[in-house]
This record gives sequence, structure tokens and C-alpha cells, in this order.
Amino acid sequence: MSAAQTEAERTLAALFESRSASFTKAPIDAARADAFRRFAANGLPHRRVEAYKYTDLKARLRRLPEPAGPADNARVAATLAAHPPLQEGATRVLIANGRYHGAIGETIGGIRIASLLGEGAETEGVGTLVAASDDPLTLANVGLFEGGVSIHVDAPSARPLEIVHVANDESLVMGRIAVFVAPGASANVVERVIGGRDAVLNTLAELTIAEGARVDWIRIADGASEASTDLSSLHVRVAERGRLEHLTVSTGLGLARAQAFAHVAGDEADVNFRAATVAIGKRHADNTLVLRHDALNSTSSEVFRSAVGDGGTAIVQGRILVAPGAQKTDARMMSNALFLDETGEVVNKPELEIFADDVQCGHGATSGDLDEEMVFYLRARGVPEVSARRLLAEAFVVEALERVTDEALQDKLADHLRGALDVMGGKTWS
Amino acid sequence: MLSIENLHASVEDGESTREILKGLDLEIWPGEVHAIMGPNGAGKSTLGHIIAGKDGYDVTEGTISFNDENLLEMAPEERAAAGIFLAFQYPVEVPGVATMTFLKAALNAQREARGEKALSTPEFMKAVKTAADKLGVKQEMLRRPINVGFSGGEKKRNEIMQMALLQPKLAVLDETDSGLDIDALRIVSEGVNSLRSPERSFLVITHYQRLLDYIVPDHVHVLAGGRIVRSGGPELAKELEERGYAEFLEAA
Repeated sequence: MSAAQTEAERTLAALFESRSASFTKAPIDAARADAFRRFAANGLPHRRVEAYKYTDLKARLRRLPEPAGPADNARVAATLAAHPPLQEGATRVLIANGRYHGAIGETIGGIRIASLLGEGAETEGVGTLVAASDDPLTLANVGLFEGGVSIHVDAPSARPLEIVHVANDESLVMGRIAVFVAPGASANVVERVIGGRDAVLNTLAELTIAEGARVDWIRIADGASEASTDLSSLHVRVAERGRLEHLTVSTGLGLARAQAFAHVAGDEADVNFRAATVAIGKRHADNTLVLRHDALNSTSSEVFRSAVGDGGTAIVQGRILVAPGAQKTDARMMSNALFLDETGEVVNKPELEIFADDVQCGHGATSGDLDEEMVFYLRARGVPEVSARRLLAEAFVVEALERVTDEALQDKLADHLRGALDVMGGKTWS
Repeated sequence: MLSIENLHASVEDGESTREILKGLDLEIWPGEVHAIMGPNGAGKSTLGHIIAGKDGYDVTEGTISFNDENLLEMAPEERAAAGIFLAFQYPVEVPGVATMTFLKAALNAQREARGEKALSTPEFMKAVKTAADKLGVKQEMLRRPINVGFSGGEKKRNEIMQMALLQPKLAVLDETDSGLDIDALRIVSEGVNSLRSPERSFLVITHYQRLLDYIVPDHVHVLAGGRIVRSGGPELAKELEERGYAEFLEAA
């Protein structure tokens, strides 16, 4: 690590020292040592690292809270009871303080769930999707994760899954997830963080979508407090005719960076990313996507909707790479930001790198105020100005939920976003 | 009901200001249907916009009173609650806001502003269904975002459906006939005619006489060069159809 090591980086190094003491000769532990060495070589990313230009983690995380020990069962149970699953009948997979909480080797409704570490751990295939990654957050998790789950989905139309991260207040947590969806199978996943005021989470998920499989994955980043940090990295590989419907919903306070690294590896695959962000007040919401098309006839679309106000910040970085030979790729990216007042900040950074000649790719970005023609139309029908603006702001963000197929879930997420828009500048709208 | 006196209005046009209305007078009594006709650029739509309270116009002189209230001091939503309705020439598409949600927000906001009770959901649904059936607006359209993906005719029917639901005192129809085929024109006109009553007035803005075969006005005015240059009965519209606006363009 460089001479200018921060207190946070020293905490991470010490954590690695203590965790590596119990490493075995197993491949997963060898990978951990390698990953942490690579992370430590550069430390926490800062603004001179292009991918972190707008989210300088070295500066924002000068010190880190203490790593959390195993979670208290009674407290976890109470937290869960207070927050029922968003989808009716969902199977809950609990990761408390980074560790899988559940029966070892559980099989529920055709879904096999196992721990990533400890007794009965299943690690086959885990790490495949991140082996070549040089993303610092990914490397830090791979080196330091304290536990997590592997999930195998082998059947179509399996029950919805809700992966819940629960963290102690003021703790450092790095849980890890690996999900394998078998050929022709389908999985419907909501991943969310509950609680954890002032906690720092750095979660990692690997998602393998086999031939003809489909995954709907919703990540909810709802920051509990101004000092809470929710860093998440999803690495996904989509095989032939595979399909991914991904949505990030980012609300609340504190720092959030939701990263997705998607590899379209199979022909005729279809991946769609949506993000609905409300960044009001002390919120820095970063959505970063790196999407690589590596196959024939594949399609992708991205729509980012961000509403900012009261000093909030929304960052959207979208990079689409079309590899040589990935002919007939159709990739479209759009980022739209709405200013709720004059104090928010928005960064849109779309990038296209195209090395194939027979492709259709496009990107666009807008940022602005509400359309005054729309405001007038509603007012001319009697809707008071404040309500009209509120209604339009809600509609702007909620539109990013268009591809959520479960209507009841879509309604709940829309309500959640409306709630996030409730307070602007310390005042409710109407 | 509506009394406009010596109205002068201008718009910012780049560096300069351009005066569009140059001393317009108009008096509409309850139950009357007035048609405003005139060449393109005469200020017809401007008049509709100013009555509804749209931003971007500077009223430099004159008054508009509506049932003895100073309309120019009221916000657009206050005008709507007081009974003013503008059927837009180009109804605005509002992505993400379901038509039904919008109608409920509009109707209940108007009722609240007038000190009336909000409608219950069943009462509201019934009122919408009545209005929608009359204009041939399908239930499926009501679930869609406002005007998004609607054809030109559907948008205009949606406007008149909103008018039937909101039951205004004065409806300003801004080129409601533009973009309508003959069947849609008939449906829209029937919708308007069924709302005619001794208490409700209409200001029908149109370029063509055709609409006035269906909505027969009590008075026809020619707006040219920012002023009413001639007024008459329904026969004036016929005369304009035959002779065009040329003589008024010269006069203006």
C-alpha cells in the first residue's frame, strides 16, 4: 500500500491479517489472499482513478467502523419481523453481519441454499465471475468477506427470493452472494439492506445465468443515515438466450454506489438495466454499469432515472463495450435526471466502445427541470402547482419501474419512491 | 360572465417584444356560445392561453373579469376551480401519470378549492364512466398515461371528456376541430352540445367554419391583427368560409 495509507486502509489491512490467519489451502482462500494483495496495492480508489472520479472513496471513507461479529439472533429476528418481505410468499435468505443465517444446505422450493464459508460450505464455481476483475470494491470483498451464501436455482418459476442484508449499527460488513441459475430455470430476486445506521457495507454478488434462464433482480439501496455507506457490486454472466431484468432503487441518506458488471457471453441474450434514484439532502447515489457484449444478436437496454434536490448528488456511469465479432448487437442507454430545486448535482457519464461494425448502439442523457407545458396542463385542470410538480416528479422516477412484472411489487416500489420524495428541503411538498 | 376590456398582450420574441393582442373587447353572458374565427397568427390561441392563465404572456393593458373576479390575478388552478376550462389545441402528453390518477387529482382539487367534499372512489368512478362513455373514451385509455400514445382524435376526445367530467362554467375550445376526421368531429361536437345549458358558456376558437355546423354559435367574432374586427351571428361564419380572411388582413 502507498505511503499515504489512510486509517481506513489500515483497518482493512489489519482485518486481512486477522482473517488470513485461519485461511486453508482451499482454492477460495488462495483467491482471497490474491485479491486482497491486489486491492492493497492501490488501496481505496480515489478521484484520480477514472471509474471513481465522482465517488472518491479514499476521501469519503477516511476511517471505517469496527468489523461486526456474528449477529445477535433476537435482534435479527426483531429487525426482520419489522420489515416483512416485499413479495408475497418470498423465501428469505438472510445474511446477518455478512454471514448466512439459516440451516446448512437448506433446500426450499427447488432452491438450494448453502453457506460460502464454514461447515457445509459450497464454493464450487464461486469466484469465477470475479477472477479477472480489478475493481477495488470487488477485490476488497473477495479478500475480506466474512461469509455469505451460494444459491442454486434449478427449476423454472421458483418462488421469489428475498436476500436480506442485516447489519449492526456502526459496523463494517462484507457479505457475499453467489447465485447460479440453471439452464431454462428462472429466479426472481429482491436484494435489500435493512437497518445498519452508520454501517459500511461492501457486498458482492455473482450471478450466473445459464442458457435460456431468466433472472429478475431488484437491488434496493435505502440508506439508513447520513453516515451509512452501501457499496454493492454485481457481476453477472449471461449465456445463450439468457435474460436479465435488473433494477436498482436508490433512496435514503448517505453514500451508495451500486455497481454492475455484466458480461453478455451468449448469443441472443437480452439484458435490461433500470435504475430509479431519489437523491435528496445528504445523499450521494452512484450507479455504475459496465456492460460487455461478447456474442451475436444480443440486446441490452439501460434507463437511469434520477431526481435530485436539497444538495443531493446522483452519478450515472454507463459503459457499453461491444467486442470484436459481437455482430448484430443492439444496445441502448438513456440517463435522465430531474432537478427538484437548484441545489442538486448530477453527473451523467455514458461511454460506448464499439469494436464490431454491424451493430446498433445509442446513448442519450438529459438533465433538467420539469416540463412547464406539463405543469401548466395539470394546473389548467385544477391541480395546484405544488401537487402538479410533485405528481410529475413521482412519475418521472416511477417510470423506471416499467419492467417490473409483479404488479404488487411494482406498486410497493412506487410507494417507496413517492415516500422518498416526500421531504424536500426539510418540508413536505403539500 | 366573462368580460374582456381593451386587452393588450405581448410576448418576448428574442430581444424584442411583440404585441399580439391590441385592444380586444369581448363580453360573454351565461349560456352563450361565442365563436372566434380568424386567420393564422391573429392571436386566437393567445387569447385562450391568457384566459386559462398560461405563463409567457405579458398583459400590458386591459382587464378580464370572470363572474366579477379579476381573472388576471388568479393562478391557473384557481381559474379552473372557478369554472374555466381550456380544451388544448395540442393536448400535452404526460408520461408516467395515469389518466385516472390525474382526473381524480384534478376533480378533487377543484372540489376542495370550492369547499366541496371530495368524491368517494365509487362516486368518482361513476362520474368518469359517464363522461368517458359519452365521448367514446375506452376504459383502457383511462389507465394509460395522459395522452401518451393517443391518436390526435383520441387526444381531442380526451379533452372533451375531461370537460364533461369537470363541468366548467366557461369552456374555451382552442381549435378542437384541428386534426379531427368527420366521425371524431361529430362525437366531439355532440359531447359539447350535450353540455350546453343556460348556465354554461363556450368560447369556440377555430380557423374553419366546419366545426360551427356542428356547434352552432350564438355569436361569431372575427379576430384579426389582435382585435375583434367584426361580430355577427352564425351567418358570418358562412360568409368567411366563402370569402376568406383577406379583407380583414388588409384592414388589420
